Amino acid sequence: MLIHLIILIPLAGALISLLAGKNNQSLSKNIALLGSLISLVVFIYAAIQHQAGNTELLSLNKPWLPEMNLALKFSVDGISLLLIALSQVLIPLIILSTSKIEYHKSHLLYALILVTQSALVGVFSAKDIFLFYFFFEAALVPAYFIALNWGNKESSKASFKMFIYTIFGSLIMLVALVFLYSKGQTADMDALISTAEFMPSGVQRALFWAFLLAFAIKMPLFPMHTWQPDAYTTSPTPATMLLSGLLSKMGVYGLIRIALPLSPWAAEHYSVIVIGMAVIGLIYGSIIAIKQDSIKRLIAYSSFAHMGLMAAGVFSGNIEGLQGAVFQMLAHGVNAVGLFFVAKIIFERTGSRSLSSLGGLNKTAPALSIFFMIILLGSVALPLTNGFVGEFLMLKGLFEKHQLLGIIAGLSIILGAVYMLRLFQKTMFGESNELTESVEDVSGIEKLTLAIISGLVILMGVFPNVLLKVSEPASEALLNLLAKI
Amino acid sequence: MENQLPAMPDVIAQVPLNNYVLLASILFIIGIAGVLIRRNAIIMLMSIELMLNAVNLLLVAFSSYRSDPNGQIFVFFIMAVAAAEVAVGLAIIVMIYRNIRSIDISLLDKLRG
Amino acid sequence: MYPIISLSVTGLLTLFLGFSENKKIVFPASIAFLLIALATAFIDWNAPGFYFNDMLQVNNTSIVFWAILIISAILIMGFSEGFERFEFAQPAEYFAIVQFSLVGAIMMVSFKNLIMLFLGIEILSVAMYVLTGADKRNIRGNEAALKYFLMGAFATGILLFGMAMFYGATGTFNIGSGVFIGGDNSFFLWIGCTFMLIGMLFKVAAAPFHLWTPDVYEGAPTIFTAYMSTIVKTAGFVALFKVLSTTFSGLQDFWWIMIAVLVTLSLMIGNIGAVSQNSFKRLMAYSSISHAGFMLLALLGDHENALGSIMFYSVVYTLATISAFGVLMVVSKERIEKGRVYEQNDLFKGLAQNNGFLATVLIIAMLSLAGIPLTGGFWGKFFVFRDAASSGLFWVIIMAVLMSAIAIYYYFKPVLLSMSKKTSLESITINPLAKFIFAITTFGTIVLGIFPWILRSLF
Repeated sequence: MLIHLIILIPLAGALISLLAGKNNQSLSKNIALLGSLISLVVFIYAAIQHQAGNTELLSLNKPWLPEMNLALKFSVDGISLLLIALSQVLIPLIILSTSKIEYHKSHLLYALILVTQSALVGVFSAKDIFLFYFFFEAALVPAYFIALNWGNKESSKASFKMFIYTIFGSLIMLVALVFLYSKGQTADMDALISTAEFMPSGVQRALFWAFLLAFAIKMPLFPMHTWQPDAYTTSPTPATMLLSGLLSKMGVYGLIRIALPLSPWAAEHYSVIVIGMAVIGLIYGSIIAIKQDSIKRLIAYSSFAHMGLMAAGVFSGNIEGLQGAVFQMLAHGVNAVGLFFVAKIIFERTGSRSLSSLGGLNKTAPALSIFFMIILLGSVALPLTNGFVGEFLMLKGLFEKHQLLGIIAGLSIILGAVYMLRLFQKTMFGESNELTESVEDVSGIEKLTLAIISGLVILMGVFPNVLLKVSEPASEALLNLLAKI
Repeated sequence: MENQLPAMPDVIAQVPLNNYVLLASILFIIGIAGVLIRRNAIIMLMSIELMLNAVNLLLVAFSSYRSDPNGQIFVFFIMAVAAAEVAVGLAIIVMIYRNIRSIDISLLDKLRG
Repeated sequence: MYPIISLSVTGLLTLFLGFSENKKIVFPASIAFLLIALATAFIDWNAPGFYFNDMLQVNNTSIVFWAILIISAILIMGFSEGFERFEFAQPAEYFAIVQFSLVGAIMMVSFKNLIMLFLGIEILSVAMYVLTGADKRNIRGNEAALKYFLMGAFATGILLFGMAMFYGATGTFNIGSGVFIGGDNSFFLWIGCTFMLIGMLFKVAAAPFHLWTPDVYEGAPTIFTAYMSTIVKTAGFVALFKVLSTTFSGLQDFWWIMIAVLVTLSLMIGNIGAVSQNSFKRLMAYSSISHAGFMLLALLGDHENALGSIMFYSVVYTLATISAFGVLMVVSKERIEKGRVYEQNDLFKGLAQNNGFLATVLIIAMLSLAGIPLTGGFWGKFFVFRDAASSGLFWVIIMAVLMSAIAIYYYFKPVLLSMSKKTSLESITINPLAKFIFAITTFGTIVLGIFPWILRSLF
């Protein structure tokens, strides 16, 4: 019975840091960090117990609105466990990454980040469809307000677009959920899943597209991605990190948890179309990323491309693809936060995000360039980094599903290497100029944060099995369910 | 059954119920048309009164034909409320007249989206 | 039952208080009177019964609504310090009229007989006509009052015609017994049902009977706009529900499609109309039309759940509306431009920098109105969607969902403006009472957003 603690601790942390930090910004940061770390520690304890067989700890089943059959029902399987772990690890890192720039009213910023954290844990563990929906939406609101309050005018426009898009998608999903609920008179995910296969095909089609729309916008998946580059580029870095590192994963998770099991026939029926969309997005995002001049925009497009590959992996319908997608969610989360952090450091030091005006940072900031290299290699999917395992598995699964699409998707690795190495070359190598001559190297907390991220990149690449084993039973269970259709 | 009215006098029954209903409906429609067409606030107010009186007639007719007092009691309520309503309405019209020296409602166009 | 007596007596007392030298006493006295009425409401708790020759029905459900109405009135009256601003104002009159109008609202939620329904509607409406024109020297207020009066009286005529026809068909004004189509009288019954519904839908501002709403909301003094959009609406919907779920339940096939069409119209007109509004009060007026559409959705489903949904929806809507209009009142207090209070959306520009508290209140109110999770508004919408889903009306729900997406756009206009860096506001002072009310409404919105069952489990 620790799951509600894991949700409530960040909320409590948010409240305390909001109240205590009004006049003392650094205190509020420490409180927020402490809150997220306590939650992490509780989670680690619970996760170890969970893996040892004590599944009671991470599940909860309390009536919520009893007369309507809604329950506060939480429980986790391997996939949920990994994603909760991701959010628990990334949130402290995001808080750490805010060290240098003093955001005004930063106590509010930390409170909002922590609220996002508890909403994320809720999304990844809810077993009641409306509870899921509730957290799914609730995670967006604080991220949006971070973008709104600490961004510039452009970002308020871009994030508003994002907000409208995602809310629209979720509302469509809500209709589908209400429909399922009114048919089954229950909101329990497991009960609904067990009856889903008997749903007539026409209904399943409608449900599937409703779900896909919501999750495709959230991820984003081609062609629903138009909000993403602007929102990622203009938002303040904490918001971008939350969006790219964590909120986008809710989309993939939703596909795995909602779209596949609740409309199984349609998911199988349309899988090639969805994979096609995903691969188009993957190639399209990669090509556009090559042409970008702004660092943040480049990372945004690369992120978009990676999300496409994950969707393709999920829909490949075999264990490699699914496991690869789950692993890649974790890897991409870590890498995206790392890359955006590096981009932020570079911007802080030089005042520029433009590739053409940078260069030669490896001389003045050698430590930064080493960390950058490691995180970047993770993104490029070099063996022994975290990116490799996921991409390799997904491409293998995709190839089994559909050879041609698999081959096209394989091209993205080459394209990815092109834009990422270009990014590195343009910033780190070459002649230094007046912007980059006098750059300080990273130090202190920045260095610590980057070291943790780089460490994760390498550790996950060297010991992928530790994580893959956790999610394997859950993935197999899902595939067995789909295989019955 | 102590609430029962005495039996309806024959003289009323000579006119069929439908005629009362028809008359009331015509009066009511005249009232509606007056509200919709006329632009003078007082005349609109009078048209509304006409609508209410059409309703009163209807209620009395139904009440007599059913030998049921409820309808006629309702008529008293309507008359009382209508009086209160007119009092307020006229006060509002006077208030407007003081401000713009007219009661033509087409002159009232300050509120626009 | 007791609050009707209590409010009538204290209303008269308030009028007499107006004669006293010390005008300051009227406000605290009125609040105390309202609190007394609230307390007396609970005398009948768990003692259901009928009063006035079975014309009023009192049970726990109606007591909950009494409490909601009286508490809303107390919260709104908390902002009434601005009354002295009206020239030639007699604050005692307004406080007295508010108390009388509550009598009407209370009758509307507990009637058992159409005569009582009519009286309730009229007591509330006539009081509202007066309050709309409270600012006597303001031509816009006059215009609003006249429009409201003419439209309202017209609607009353139609409502009465419906009642008369209903009486002709059934021979009773009692709503206890169900009626069914069939037999000689079915034509009267159809006319009666249609006209009564039209008359009542006028009062709750559902499209296409909404034409008065934007003008009246804009012209009326803000405090009474808030009153109108919360108390009149709540009482109106409960009355509508009572009529439809009792007497007319046998005619469901007949009115069902009519309500479904009206829902669609209200949602479309309300939401699309609101997009282009620059005046905050007009925006709220169109928003109120669209919320009428959402609340009508609840009527389409099972009657067992509908009342709970309407109750929940009206409470969260009331809380959010009081917050929104309250912020408007506080912010626009000192802003007079071209001889009238400045109430455009860009009034809120830079509010977050100037006064974070007010901005938070406004933002949470707007989020709740837009139906975003973590606020009560989400559950309000959820419950009505669920009710409508139980009747299989998915095209209406999809419509409603599309319109909610549009709604986010316009509800966020004030939010975005308030987050703006530039500001033309001077420092704003909030009196402690207003601050307290904001705290209640905002806290209530959030609590209902996280623990909806607190309220929902009452029914």
